[in-house]
Amino acid sequence: MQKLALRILGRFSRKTFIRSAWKNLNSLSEHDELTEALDTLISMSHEENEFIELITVIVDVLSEAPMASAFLCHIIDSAALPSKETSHKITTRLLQKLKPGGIYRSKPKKRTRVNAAIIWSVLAEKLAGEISLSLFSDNVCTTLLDYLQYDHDASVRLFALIALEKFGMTGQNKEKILNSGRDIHKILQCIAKELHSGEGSSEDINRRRQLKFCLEWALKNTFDSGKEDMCDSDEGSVNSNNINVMLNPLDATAHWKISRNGLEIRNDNSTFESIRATMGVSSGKWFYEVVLLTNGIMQIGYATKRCLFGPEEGTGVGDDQYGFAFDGCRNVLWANGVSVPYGGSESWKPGDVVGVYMDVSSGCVRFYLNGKDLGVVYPLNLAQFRKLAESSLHPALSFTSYQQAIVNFGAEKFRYPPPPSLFAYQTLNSQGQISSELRNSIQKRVWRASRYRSMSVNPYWKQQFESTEEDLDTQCSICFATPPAIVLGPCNHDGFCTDCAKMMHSCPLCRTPISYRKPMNNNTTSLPSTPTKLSIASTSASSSLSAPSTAIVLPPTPPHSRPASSITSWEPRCLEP
Amino acid sequence: MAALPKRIIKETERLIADAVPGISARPHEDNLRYFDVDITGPEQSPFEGGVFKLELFLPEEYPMAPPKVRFLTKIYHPNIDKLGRICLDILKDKWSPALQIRTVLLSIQALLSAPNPDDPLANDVAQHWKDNEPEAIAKAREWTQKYAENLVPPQE
Repeated sequence: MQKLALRILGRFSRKTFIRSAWKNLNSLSEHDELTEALDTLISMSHEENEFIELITVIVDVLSEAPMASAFLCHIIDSAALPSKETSHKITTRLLQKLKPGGIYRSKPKKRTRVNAAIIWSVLAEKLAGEISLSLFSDNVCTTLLDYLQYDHDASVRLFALIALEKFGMTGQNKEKILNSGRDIHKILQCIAKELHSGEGSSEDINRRRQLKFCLEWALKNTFDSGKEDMCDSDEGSVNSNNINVMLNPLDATAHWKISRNGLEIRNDNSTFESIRATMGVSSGKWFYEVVLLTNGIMQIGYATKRCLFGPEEGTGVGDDQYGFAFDGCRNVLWANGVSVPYGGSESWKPGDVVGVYMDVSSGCVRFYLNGKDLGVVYPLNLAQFRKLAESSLHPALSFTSYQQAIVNFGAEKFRYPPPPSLFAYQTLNSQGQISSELRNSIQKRVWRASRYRSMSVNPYWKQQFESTEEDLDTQCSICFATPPAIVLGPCNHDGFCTDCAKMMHSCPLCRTPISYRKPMNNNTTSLPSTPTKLSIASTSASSSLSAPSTAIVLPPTPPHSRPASSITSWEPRCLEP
Repeated sequence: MAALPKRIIKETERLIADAVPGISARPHEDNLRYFDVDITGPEQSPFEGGVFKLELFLPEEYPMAPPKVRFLTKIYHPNIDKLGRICLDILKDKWSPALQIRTVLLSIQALLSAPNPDDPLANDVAQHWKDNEPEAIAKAREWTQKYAENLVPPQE
């Protein structure tokens, strides 16, 4: 029906239709209606011409409303993969819109520039190979580099940078940026320096902080020059000795940008990213604060280790029975996977400070917004709450795209501490502890994310494959790069190196939750078990067609058997040599 | 130049050197984490005679997180939706870092032999499969002929 109608009405009315469908989308609040409106737009994205039309309309109408970019990501995510021609056409259309002295106006609106950059970055994230190349023409490259310049608004510069970063994930595009005749390192460094000074409204300051954060990330990661000491930022020089609780990138989804002190995070991916803190609690009264730099959908609260983060599916803290969270964009409290209205009638704003108070013994929770008590709430029934607490509740956060915040576990003074006479809370930081080993692993992870991402591409890639023919049985069965050193307990499977063992929560061979990791005994002749298992795995997959969904037949996950203690950190217990 | 993780190099080497019958996977020259995959429809399945194109991407955190795979060729299958997304537990919560690209692709090939309408991703297709299996199989065969028998990659 819809499609038929569209075809008849032709291009002009198609535009109007998309406009109203989009407008409709942003005004709806009921879940079912929303889903339907989204599906309407998604179904249009299946046909090439309509997809191009959709993008052309969105570049005009995408607003600063916090939900808008989330919708855009979702639509592009669900759309059929555009062909090379389609992506080329999209790029041409976007560039037309941005042409100074185009038919419409003398200078493209700030919003149009931001939107074009957002669209490019979302598409660049999805596409690789030739499609990405056809999207990233010389003109796009120059346009985005231009947008980094100081005469553009901070949000234009921010999204131009993000788009360049996403394109930079495809090797040839990155070469194009690096060989554009402009020194991208130098440009980024200059901007970072220039941003040190500056005044303006708190909104301007927030935007500049985001830009600076992303610049530093890009310098250290995507466009690193290979010199590690090149850009020592504020975060880097911050004395992190008094920081005893961090957000743990080893216990998080994959696409976070995270500061070196582990307290400032940002998501620039189209997925719903989640992260837990290093420390969890099983009893007591606790308080922590989050300073928001953006105003989109974020779920801030507590979760146990069992809370399953599903970045693709859009599930995070509070979306299952293993945690709860407040979202002040939609003003709801999430627990057990359902939401109830909570908080004020207005959405939170950039610069707002969210306080999270929890009393484990009574299952009572309070959220604060800029010091204002949003009310007592019992997100879960007491029995369930206590059961969760037994396995230890970690502060945890989930962010949609382009959200950024700074978390304070008490290493710094709280902006709006609740009256201590009322609540004798503790700060997590005063009780937390991060071993130097974990600290190093976190640093390494922050760096390693970059290492992989910044892999520049060698067109003669076959050369990379020439050298290595040593016996793999002597290497860790997960990374193939380091000698095995660890036995997992209680299942006793071995053959893993220290780093890999640390990153896993359950045994890769039998799925038993890991409760300890101990060094392999060199005297025993136990061989690393994985290579043989893996070959069994592949034959069993091809022969046992009755169970197509499991290649390795692993037992179902047994109930969680982590020993309860009042304070647990992520730290593996038995790593002492 | 930062190197590609050893694990990926090794797996790629083996995929090329020691190919699995009915499955081919080649990394893109400009992005070694991105693979073009062809899977031949298994014998005695409605997909027999077809060659299905897939894309496979190894995210940064691979092998701690599963590869991302989707069909680019249209396919009528209860566990694969119209966008080519695959409902397979090992690609989601049952992922284990001991699994590899090879095992993932074998599982997908096996899924073609044994569609599972009880765990559907494409609801209408699954319902069709449950209500009238012979008819659903006939349709799957028809789609295979229509979309997958041609070796030229399908245009979107």
